[in-house]
Amino acid sequence: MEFSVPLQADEFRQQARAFFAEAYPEELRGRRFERPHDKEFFRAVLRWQRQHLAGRDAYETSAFFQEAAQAGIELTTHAPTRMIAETLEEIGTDQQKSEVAPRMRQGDSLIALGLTEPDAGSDLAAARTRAVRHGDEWVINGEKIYTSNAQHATHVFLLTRTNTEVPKHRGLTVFLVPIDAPGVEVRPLHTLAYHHTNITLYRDVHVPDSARIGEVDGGWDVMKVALSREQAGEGSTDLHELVRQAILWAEQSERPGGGQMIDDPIVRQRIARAAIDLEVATLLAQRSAWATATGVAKNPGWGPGSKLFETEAYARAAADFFAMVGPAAVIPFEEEGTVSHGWFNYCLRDSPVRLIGGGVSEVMREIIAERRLGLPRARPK
Amino acid sequence: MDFSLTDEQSELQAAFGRLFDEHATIAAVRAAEPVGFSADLWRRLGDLGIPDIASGRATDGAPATMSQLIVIAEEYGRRLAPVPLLEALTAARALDRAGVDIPESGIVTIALRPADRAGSLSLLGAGAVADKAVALIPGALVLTDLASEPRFLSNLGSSPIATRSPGTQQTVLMSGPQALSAFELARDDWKVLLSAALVGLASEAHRVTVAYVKERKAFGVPIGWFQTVAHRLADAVNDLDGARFLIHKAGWAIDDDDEGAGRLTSMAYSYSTELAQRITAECLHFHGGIGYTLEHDIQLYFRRAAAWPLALGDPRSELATLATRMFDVGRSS
Repeated sequence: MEFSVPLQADEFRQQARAFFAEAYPEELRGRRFERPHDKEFFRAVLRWQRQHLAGRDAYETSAFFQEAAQAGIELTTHAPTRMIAETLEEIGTDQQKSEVAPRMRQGDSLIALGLTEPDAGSDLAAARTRAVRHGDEWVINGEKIYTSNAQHATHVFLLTRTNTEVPKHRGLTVFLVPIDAPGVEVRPLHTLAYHHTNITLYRDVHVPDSARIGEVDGGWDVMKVALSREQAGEGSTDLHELVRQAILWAEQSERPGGGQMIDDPIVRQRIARAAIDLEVATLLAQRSAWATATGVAKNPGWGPGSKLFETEAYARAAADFFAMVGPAAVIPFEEEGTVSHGWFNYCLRDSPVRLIGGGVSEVMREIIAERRLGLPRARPK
Repeated sequence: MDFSLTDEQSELQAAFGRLFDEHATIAAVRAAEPVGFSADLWRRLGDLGIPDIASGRATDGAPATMSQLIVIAEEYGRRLAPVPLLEALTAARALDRAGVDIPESGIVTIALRPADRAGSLSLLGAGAVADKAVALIPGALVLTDLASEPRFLSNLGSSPIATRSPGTQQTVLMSGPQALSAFELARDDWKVLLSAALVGLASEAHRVTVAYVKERKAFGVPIGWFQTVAHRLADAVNDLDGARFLIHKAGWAIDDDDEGAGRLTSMAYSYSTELAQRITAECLHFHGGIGYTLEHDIQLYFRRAAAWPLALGDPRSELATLATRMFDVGRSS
């Protein structure tokens, strides 16, 4: 084994850092929870990416996303857009490949994922949103939840039920639905983490057959391609930033009785413990980037294992540091008397979101248990 | 970046894995208890170049790297091999750094704790079978013969420990303030090797347990069907990957003289010691009542995961060492 970062990834990291320093004003940094969603800014990011990120390997790609996160930028609209563009490039029609995907690549189309439904949660294939064919058109009725960033998106990647007579995985079809189509309604759903996701409603929404992705009733195959694009080394750096903030806090805060909090044996050991978790999380994410870059066959447990470890470690550290920094941790970022710009307050609120979003921990463990350890499948088909 | 074993690492893994598979069977491990030493296995390891492999002087300047020794240590741990392998490799590296040959005969161990006030090397690892030891005595790191007769002390890990006294035939490896840093380097080598051994040990306990929970039925289903069992075993395999990478990264940093070597070593040791103890306890637990009987093998792993790190002392204190390495190096005050 060998752990040096490829030189060109390091150079590209510097390039990305310089771009973000210029494109994203300094005063907004470290205040990620304000989550500015500026369409112009995201277009600039996508433009830069188109010019500089195309053809880069997995190390360079992950360096880009790490720098984005480091700069306090969450590319939450961007990630699904890239994911669906790649999906279309792989399995789309000629027209989707030549016209639709390029608009996504250029940032003219931004995608939100309409997958989860209120009654189904993690069981995506249980979707009940109906799409019914009428000649050359489809008419869609239903409801999706956690359609994050739909307020900024131009289209929803929508998983629908087109056949109720077959097993649930075989009766699904995917459409790309314009957010401004008559009958689409976006309702904000505010979260603990100072941001909002959405409920999206579809009432007699008409889309042409050309909006369909993949085969009729072949939606689960499309989902497999799309989800395989989800974990492409975009490993978030939440934990990295949390540990950095804790060290800053400990170095700058006075310890009762003299010295700084970093001199306190309990404080320093708590931070050291989180630093170990950070190193492990980084290595698990780097393995995925390495496998992608070199074409090594990935074990189906690696990606879920990386997501599981990082978010669980983040939640542990968030809870621990929140308590460690004392009474002012309860004061949020915009209030007087907050500590570390409200960072620990924010991470505590954000950590439950991370454990659930992008694949809840229990499903990650299920995948590892079944597909890596070969244990019997616990959940019903 | 490369998360696969190199060809050399794979060859070592195969060669030592094969030897341990044949000669460190569970029956052989049990037969070597309570002392925990098999002269036959030690001789066979000698044929494979242990411990000379770790010395530049004994290998014409081409010793095995730390990254390679890690692979051997993991195989050793996987089979609970009853030999003082880690002590001998650690001592060989310490001697090599000091430009001293490995003695031609006998076992050289390492005293991981300095000589006590009375001058004894208390509960010395491999002390019951060693002829010499690398030890920190006041003012110097030395290679010393061992004077007192070894009196084996029955112990949890079935390791050949005994309290010994340094003899009079001593070679100074390093004196003055440098003695302490040479001693720290040797301890770091041992920490990385022990971490690898613990990952091997815990991986084997995990493998045995995964097979068991697929077979063993309760309430009409294999117990591995229950999520509280399956999910903990899933966490374990994921955490073991992390430990293995951390250990290899520490070894890579040591081989490269990287400034992060000490920090990574402390991380690997802290993480692996805690993890191996947790996983072996869980694996014993998933066996149910039979797991706590002496006739079942799973207790062999549980005992050693707890006992092995104690050769150095409380493994949790490594967090304090890590904090020092993270926060105090280069600080002015």
